[in-house]
Formats: sequence, structure tokens, C-alpha cells
Amino acid sequence: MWQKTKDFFKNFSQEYFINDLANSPLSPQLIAYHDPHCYVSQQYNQIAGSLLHNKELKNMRSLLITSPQPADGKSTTVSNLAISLASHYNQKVLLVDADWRRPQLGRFFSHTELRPLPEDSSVSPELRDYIFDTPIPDLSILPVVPKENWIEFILDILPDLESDFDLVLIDSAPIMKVVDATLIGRVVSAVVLVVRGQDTPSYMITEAEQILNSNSCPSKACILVNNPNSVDVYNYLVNPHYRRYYTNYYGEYGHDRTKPVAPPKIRSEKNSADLVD
Amino acid sequence: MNNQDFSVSKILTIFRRWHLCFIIPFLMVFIATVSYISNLKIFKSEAIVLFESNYIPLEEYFTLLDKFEDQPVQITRSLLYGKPVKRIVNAVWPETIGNEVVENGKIAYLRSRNGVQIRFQRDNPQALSVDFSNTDPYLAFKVVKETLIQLVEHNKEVTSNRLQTGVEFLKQEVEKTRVELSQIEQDIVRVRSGLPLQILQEHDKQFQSIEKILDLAPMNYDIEKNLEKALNFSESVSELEFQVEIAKKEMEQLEADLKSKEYLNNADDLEKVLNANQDSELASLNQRLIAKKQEISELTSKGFLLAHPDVLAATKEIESLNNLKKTKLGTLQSGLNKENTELAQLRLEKLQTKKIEDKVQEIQLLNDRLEVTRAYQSKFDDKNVSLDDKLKELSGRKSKLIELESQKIVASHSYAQMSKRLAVMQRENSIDQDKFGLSVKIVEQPQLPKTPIALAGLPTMIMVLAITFGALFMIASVIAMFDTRIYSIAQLSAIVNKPVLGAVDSFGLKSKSLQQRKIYYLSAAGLAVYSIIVWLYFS
Repeated sequence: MWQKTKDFFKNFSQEYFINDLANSPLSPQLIAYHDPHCYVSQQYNQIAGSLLHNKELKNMRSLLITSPQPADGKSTTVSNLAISLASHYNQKVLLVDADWRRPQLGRFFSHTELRPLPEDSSVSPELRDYIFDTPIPDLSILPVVPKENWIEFILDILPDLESDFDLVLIDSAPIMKVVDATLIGRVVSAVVLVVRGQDTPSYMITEAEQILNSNSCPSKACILVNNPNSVDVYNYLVNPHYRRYYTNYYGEYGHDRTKPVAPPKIRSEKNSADLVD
Repeated sequence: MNNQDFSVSKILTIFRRWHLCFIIPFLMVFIATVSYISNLKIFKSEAIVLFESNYIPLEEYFTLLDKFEDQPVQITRSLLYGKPVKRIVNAVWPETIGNEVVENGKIAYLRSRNGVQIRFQRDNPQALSVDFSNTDPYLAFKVVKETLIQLVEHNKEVTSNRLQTGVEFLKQEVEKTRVELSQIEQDIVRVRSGLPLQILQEHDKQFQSIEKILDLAPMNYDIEKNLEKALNFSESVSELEFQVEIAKKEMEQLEADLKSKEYLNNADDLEKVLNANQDSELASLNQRLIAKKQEISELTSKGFLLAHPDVLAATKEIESLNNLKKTKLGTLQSGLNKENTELAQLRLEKLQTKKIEDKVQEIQLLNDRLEVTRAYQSKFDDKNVSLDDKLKELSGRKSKLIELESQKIVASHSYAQMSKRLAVMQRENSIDQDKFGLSVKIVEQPQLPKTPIALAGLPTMIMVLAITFGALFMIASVIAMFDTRIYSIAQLSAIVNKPVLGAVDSFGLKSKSLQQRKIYYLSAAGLAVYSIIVWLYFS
């Protein structure tokens, strides 16, 4: 009885991590890296596909991600989008942290895990001190370093970066608080607004749009994060019913990158015949 | 504020989205209500008062109608207003004395729907039930007891007020009747005498108080005779002058007797002074004298002349009897000692003086009448009144006199009745309580309730829950009205008018469902603790 009670309280206070995230040096926010086949990663893949195949965004080289107010999920969104573009769509992506007041990307990708660019990289030697490789292939990062006039520096090097990488994703400060986003937004190919569900008021979105338009920023699209009309993604991993459903349709691949992709289960002949009929 | 999509569906969405925020308060109120009602013990104390008379003064006691089970019933309001209710509150809650705010609060409580219930029973309209319910049995008992005390006190006050009012009313009525009687009497006198009222009032001072009016002696002069005299003023004046002359001569004779001491030989006076009635011989003489005088008067009334032998014989016998009487009185006077003789003489002298004074008064009265009659005569003479007019006035006065006499009889009767009733009231200091509905009897005394009454908790519970649900619905409506946040892709695309690339679900280190489950567990545990605390508190 005592043991059962103990277990109950232990489970009660337990935090559920995906794939032993506690042992990973990268931030658990990078779900597209840790669990590329989960429901949320699929949503990021879908957004990344929309970015690439959208008519208006088709030839873009640089993309500014901003939001009306702080803590809307810009850094998480841009990081996962970058991972999805690099790993799923084989794009050579550079992730730039333009929010020098509250830098997040360096922490997400763990400074210890960052490596210098290879010798054969097309990046100019002046920028090699600033740009690092991440554990994700084809994804580089330009974290914030102690340097004066960080925004002007980014604006100066942005044309070079656009030529060196397929896509440059810039994480900026909130548009309603500081002018950084509008400064960068004038020179990038497109600006995407991140809106946090059940949090951001509609009037703030409208005002942010007006600021972008008045500054001639190419505001192109929006992304809704923290979608209220969602299911608990963790149920797909914890609840046996959802897990069975999930593995039947998506298989076990992706969880272990060293293993080959498992073939889908072959239906019985009888069942196939029924389907044909 | 975005009110475009404010609707019931949005309110329901708010309910669904923050279901715990609504369910938990709802359950808290529900638990509190159930605990409160389950542990509520109401004690009721009751008493019944019977109005013993058939008449109940509704206009004084029971001023309002109330409905009890769709039946109109009279309820006592006067007890719960004014001084009685203050006395009840001060007796039940002594701390309210001098604290007007608390006192008014208690008064409002007693008057409220949960306060003292005073109403007539439907099966017996004479029986008044007084009851009060409270969680404190002693308080319920005390309130009913004090209410009954004040009911009795109120009765006493009303009785006293009615007595005072009745006495005042009767006094006014008596005064009015007295004035009326006075007027009638004056009219009667005026009509009887045929004299102007103004002159009459100067001479008759006896019409000043009702007592004197009531004790008025009957008129000693005949109206017809008086009026006939009034018609022949010349005769009346001469007659009066003749009477005055006679009276003056009589007075002169009396004065002469006083000087010559003839009065000492007056047999009648001597008999009075000597107190000779007790003497048997004198008494028989007196009887014989009276008999003889009666015999003479009978004979003269039959038409016999004074020269008739029988009359002469009787006259002689009377003379002899008088002589005998004088002799006897002289014997009695001589038998007195010196002091008694002097005393008798003094008394005789006093009697003589009294006769003279009476005569003077008579002359005065006659002179007054003479003066008035002369004035009336001159008045008629001035107006040249004819004989027909005088006769007409005579008949009119006669009819007026009859009418006034009948009015006087009625007024005197009512005055006597009212005086008698007033005297009884003032003597007994009470009124007929049965007649005024003030006689009450406490049939059932209030008892200290020992067992609580059954409480209809379900309606209260339903009411409380309905109120809670309504309040929560109002809160949800307000939230829905002021909530401008984004909840769906469609909502977002409608605002920005740009393509929405996609939506990402919320994710974090902890499972959402597990977090929610944790909240559920914590809420359930909190509600359990809350239930226990509330139950213990109310029990």
C-alpha cells in the first residue's frame, strides 16, 4: 500500500521527456531534431514546405521571423523551421540571432556543440569567426557575440550570407517593443509574423501589421503557434492506443537514426483482396 | 475589443475552455449549500392568542392584508411598528439599547419574511398565531414571549386610549346638550313670560350652569294669565300698582305692630315660638279649628251666605276656640321662667322683622315686574300693534311653547343618559372590552422548542445553484465580450488578411494531459478538504 502510494506521487510529480532529452546537450525546444516524426515536427515540416512552395516566397533568400510581443515563440519556431528545412528539404540554412538583447539560439543549440565551419566552406573568411556548424547537417548558426552595433553588422553581411546559403532565417526582437525588426525587415525578402494562440490580442496583430506596412517591410505570411485546438502530442507517445495508431502509419523510423528505415507492414492477401473489391 | 463574434457559442466555448474555472466555484457553492442546509437546525416557537369578542378592530390592529397560501389574511402590523417593536427588540437583545443602528437592523429582521409571523388562523378567524423560527431555540422562544407581552401591553394602551377618547367624546356631547338645553330653557321662559329675552336675562341669573337648569323649578305663573295681562297692558300695570300699594300698606301695618309690640299677641307666632305643637290640648284645639274652617269653606262653596245660621254658628265657635287657644298660650307663657320669656319675646320680634323683610322683597319684585311691564307696554304702543296681531302672537307662542317643551324633554333625557354613562366610566375607569375587541386570551403559551423543524432544503438548494450558475454564466459572458485573443487559424487569417502558413500545437517538457490530470487531482483534493472544512464549520 505504501509502495503504491509512493509510486503514485512519484508518477504524479514526474516530468516526461522524449527520448531521454535530459541527456541531450541540445534544448528540448528543438523538437524537430529530437523527434522528427512526431505530430509537432510534422507541422513544422508542413510550414517549411509552405515556405518553399509558396508563390510569393518562392525565390526568397532571407526570411525575418518576428512577433508583436515578447515570448510568443519566435526562437522556437525559427529553430525548428531551420531544422526542418535543412534535414527534411535539404536546404543549406543559416540561422541568425538578431535579438541581441535576449539571445536564445546559442542556448538552444548549445555552444559546446557548435563547431567551426569546414575549410571548404563557401563562406568568406571574415565571417567564419561568427558562423558555426550545428549537429544538424546543412544548418549553420550565427549566434549573438559581444559586439557593438549588432544589427548594423547583420545588415552589412546579409547580402554575403544570402549568396553563401540557400536560405537565411533571422530571429529578431518583438516588433512592438524595439525597432530592430523593422530595420532588418526592410532588406530581407520576406517577413513572417508569429502569433501565439490564446495569448496575443487581435489589436496587437493589427498594429504590428500597420508598423510593418508603414516601414515598407515585405510582410508575407503568418504562423500560429500554441494552437489551442490541438491534441496533446504526448498522448501519441504515452497513451498505448495513440502509440499503436502512430506506429502503424509512421513506423518506428526516425527514432534511431542509425537503423535503416523499416518497411511498412504488408497486409494479408485476404485483406488486400477485400480492399481491391 | 472585438465584439463581432460575440455569441452564445462563444460563451459556451469559454465554458469549455476554462471548464475548471467554472466547475470548481460551482462545486464549492454546491458543497457549501448542501453542508449548510444539511446541518441547519431551525427551531420554531409558537403561541396562539384568542380574541374573545366577535368584533376585531381591524382598522387599528390589522392594517394590511397579506397572502398566505393564496388566501388573504390579516396580519398584525401595529405590533411591528413604533414603540412595541422597539420594546421587543430591547427586551430580546439588551445590547441594542442606545445603539440605534443595531436596533433598526433587528427591527428590520423582525419585520422581514423570516421575522415574526403574526397572522390569523384560517380555520378560526378569532385565533391569532404568533410564531418565530431561528437556529437558536431560546431566541425563538424569547421573541415569541416578548411579542405576546407587547400584544397584551398594546391592548392595554389601546384600551386606555379608547377610554380617554370615549370620556372626551362624552364630555363634549354633554356640553353640547347642556348648551342646547340652556337655549331651550331660555326660549321657554321668553315664550312663557312674553318678555324680551334681553330683559329676562338681566333678571334671571339662574341660567348659567347646566345643573341649575336641570334643577329649575316649574314656572309659578300661568302663561295664559301672563299673556292676557300682556295683551291688556293698562290693566296689568294698574293691577301691579294696586298690588304694590297693598304690599306697602301691609308693610306699614307690620312696622306699626313692631313698634307697638302687638306682635307679642299673635297666636300663630306664639305657638311657633313656644313650640306648642307637642301640647295635646292645643293640638286638639287646632284640629277643631281646622275642621270648623273647613266646614265654613264647604258651606261657602255650596253657596251659603255668611249670614246663614250654620255659618254664623261655626264662626262663633271658631272665635271661642281662638279664645281658648289664647288662654292656653297665655298659661303656657306665664309658666315660663324669666329667661325663657325673654327668649320667646326675642323670637317673636325676629319673626316680625322677617315678615317685614319679606314684604320689602315682595314690593321690590312687584316694582321690577311693573317696570318690565311698562317697558313692554311702551314697546307695543310704539309699534301700534293691533289686537289681531296680539292674538296671533299668542297662538304662535303657544305652539312654540309645546315644541320647546318636547325638545326639552328629549334633551333632558339624552343628557341624563350621557351623564350617567360618563359617571360610570369615570368611576370604574374601564370600558366594555368585549365590545371593542380588546379582550384577548393567550390560549397556547410559547414553549422552548426542543426539536428542530423539518426544513425544505431542496428549493433553497435549487435557488442557490441557479443563482451560482447564472453568476458564472454572467462571468463567462463578460469574459467572452472582452476576450480578443486568437484561438484559430481562421480567426487569424481574418485579421491579418494574409496566408497563414500553418499552426503549431503547444508542446513542452511536460505532458499536457498529465498536467491537466495533475490539476484535476489537485482540484479534487482541494474540494475534498474544502468539503470537510465546510461541513465541520456548519455542523
